Amino acid sequence: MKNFRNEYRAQVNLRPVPNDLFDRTRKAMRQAPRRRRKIHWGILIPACALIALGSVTAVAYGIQQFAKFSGPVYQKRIDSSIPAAVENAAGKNIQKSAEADGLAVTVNRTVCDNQRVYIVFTVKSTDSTPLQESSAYRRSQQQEFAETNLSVGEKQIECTAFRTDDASVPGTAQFEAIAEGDFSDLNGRQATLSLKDFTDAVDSCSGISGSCTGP
Amino acid sequence: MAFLMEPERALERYGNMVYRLALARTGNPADAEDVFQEVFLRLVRSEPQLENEEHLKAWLIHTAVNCSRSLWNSIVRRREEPLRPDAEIPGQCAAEDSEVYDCVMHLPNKYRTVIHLFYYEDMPIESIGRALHISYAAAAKRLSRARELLRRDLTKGEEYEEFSKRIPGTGESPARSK
Repeated sequence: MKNFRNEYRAQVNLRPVPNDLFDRTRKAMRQAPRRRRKIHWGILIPACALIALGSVTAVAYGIQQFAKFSGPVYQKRIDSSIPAAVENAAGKNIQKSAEADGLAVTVNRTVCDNQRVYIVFTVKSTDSTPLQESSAYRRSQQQEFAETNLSVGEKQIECTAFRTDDASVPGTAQFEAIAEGDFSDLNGRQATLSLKDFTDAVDSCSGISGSCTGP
Repeated sequence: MAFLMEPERALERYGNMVYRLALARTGNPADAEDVFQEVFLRLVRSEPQLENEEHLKAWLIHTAVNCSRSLWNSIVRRREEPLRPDAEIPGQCAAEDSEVYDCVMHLPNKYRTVIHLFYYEDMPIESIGRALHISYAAAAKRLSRARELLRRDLTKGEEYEEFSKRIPGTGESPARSK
């Protein structure tokens, strides 16, 4: 019997490996650049996005669960147009009050520079009714007087009044009124501040309905 | 832990095996050299994650098979005529009686590969299947069919003792006579 394995081996061995093949290959291997690991952006970017989204969701959920928002959210305090140093030191300390319709208005301080008059006054509720109508969370208060006038003799000057406090005290509001005009002859004369119709408005929206008819 | 072997050491140890397999697949020394170089360059460039030396051997065999297939495809694309074994460079083949080798070279590629790995490299069928990424049964079937073809093609094919042995796993009787 013949042996196929031995015959095949013998014939394969008759075909030798070229002498310089190993050396050439070794040289080529030393010069071959190592491949950098491929970055799979297609996987990496969605994975990072998912992780970021998950983190944001988890943080938001945690804040919603544990953070407590108690009480109304008041508007940001408006800085007085008079610099603090001037407001505290300059001007005249008046502290005169008048009461009407459950409100007490106290003029705290005035400053005059012949062209403008600044009047700082406080409005207080005298019948313990809050100045704010709504106790719900409020992001804006629109409390103002419909008319604010300054009378000097026969001259009547319309003022701009705006609230400067942050509405954190329910029964009190701090206002500042500015009147522009010629006040050069104001010295020694009596000025009267008239306030009319204190209003408290809240932007709200409820019961919206509508109808639509086709052509 | 990953298995580490210097590429140059792998070249020393498995270079002969890769060249012989490439030669068996391509049928001509020039192409076999190309495949040989490509296999070891891939080993350097791709830095495969290997588990053990057996895994490295299987990787080299599989890459050699793939490279020779790619080479064949590129030859087909270029519409070139590859050199056949009987057209080898003079002096390369010193065999006077090379009937066995010629018959193996005339087998289809997939049969040639298993015959070479089984009879020259002495690899068990299981390892051949693992290296070629085929099942044990498929490797055994290929070997059985290759042996049947050789038995038919060789002048005295029936006289080879190996061809009368049964291959376990094929469920077939020893190679049938023509």
